[in-house]
Amino acid sequence: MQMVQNKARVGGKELTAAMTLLVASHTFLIYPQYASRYGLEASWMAPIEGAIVSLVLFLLLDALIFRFFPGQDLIEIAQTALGTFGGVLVALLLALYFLFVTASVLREFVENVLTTVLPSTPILVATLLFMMAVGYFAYLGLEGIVRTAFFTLPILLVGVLGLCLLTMNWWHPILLFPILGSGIPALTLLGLRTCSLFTNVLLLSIIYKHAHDPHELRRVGINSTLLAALVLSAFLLTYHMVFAEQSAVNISFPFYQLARLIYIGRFIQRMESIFVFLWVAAALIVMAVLIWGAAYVLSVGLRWSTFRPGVPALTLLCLAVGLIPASVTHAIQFDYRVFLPWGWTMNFVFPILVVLVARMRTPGRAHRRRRVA
Amino acid sequence: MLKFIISILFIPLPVFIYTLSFARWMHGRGQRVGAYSAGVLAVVTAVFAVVVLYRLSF
Repeated sequence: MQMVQNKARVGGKELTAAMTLLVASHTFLIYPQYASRYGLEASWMAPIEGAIVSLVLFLLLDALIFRFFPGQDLIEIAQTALGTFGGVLVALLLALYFLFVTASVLREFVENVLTTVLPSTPILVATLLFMMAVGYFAYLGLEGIVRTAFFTLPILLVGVLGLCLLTMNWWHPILLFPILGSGIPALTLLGLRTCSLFTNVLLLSIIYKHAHDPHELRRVGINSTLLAALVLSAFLLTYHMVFAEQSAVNISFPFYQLARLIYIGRFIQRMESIFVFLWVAAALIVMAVLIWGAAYVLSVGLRWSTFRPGVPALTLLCLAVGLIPASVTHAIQFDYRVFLPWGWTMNFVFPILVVLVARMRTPGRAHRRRRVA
Repeated sequence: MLKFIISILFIPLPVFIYTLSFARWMHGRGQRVGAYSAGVLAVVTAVFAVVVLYRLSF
């Protein structure tokens, strides 16, 4: 049983799809508004800039792992070098990070749904029903999640790119000027903050062992990062060609607002209901993979026999944390003040630091393992 | 008050019992670290859920 649950085997393409969804789902959340506020007309450049920085850091992490600790994930590296206590500490930090990100995505997603399509539904009912689906999905394990992501990703890509193209009659390319928006320093800072979205790197350093070929880590990381950056950038480009900068920074739900504008003729208009489906599917997969990640790191770090019994408790904890903010404004403040400015430290600095500290503490063992490999 | 009690019975209580039984199962297999951590997770989750449900009910 333990073997089946903790040693799931997934293909590189499926893993790429799940990791792409994890980052590209920010199209539906608060990120477009955030990027518009700090990047103005040039906000579409921020995902590309963030992706380039993320790729450099990811390749560094990939090289460090395969050079010094081949075949080991981040928790095992911490356990090898820092002992059981170090492993527990790293596992707890990662699980907390995944939980807070999931809770933040949950609250933003539920507020979006309640405000736009279910205005009379109590927040607890909507959140509870959604989290039951997420919990069940996470309980099924990594294989179920990534295979569903593999089917969902093409639909999402067609949906987002379709949304961009269907609003073509509202495009005003002149709104993209001045081309550098808020200026190079502000744009550079926004690009670095955009690295916080690339949680795929952190998650990959934990789950790459589950790929049929662990050496696919590099390809999965590069493909998912580039594809997600492309989706985010295409959406922001369209968004800024449709809305002027003054309006763009004040729209709460950019994706929904853009979908509402579609008017190709009398029979092709108001297509937001189709996009709500995309919205739900993407949010479901993203939250399931993050809760699975939290349960998995706890199971490895705390030496649980299996991760599955931890999933209901983590799902409920996530629901409770997501409902703590008194209003949507407070929930968004978490993203504005904590996740977007500082998330990159957990995505990149933390795993690189763990590997470097582990390398310094176990030079002999690492060399031996490298020779054996 | 009734809403609060019913919501506790249907949401955090089953999860608490399930996670605690997982902790007991691991304790029975001699996995002390796992058992204690699962127990702590069960308690923390229950406390958070009850507090949030209380806020939403009143």
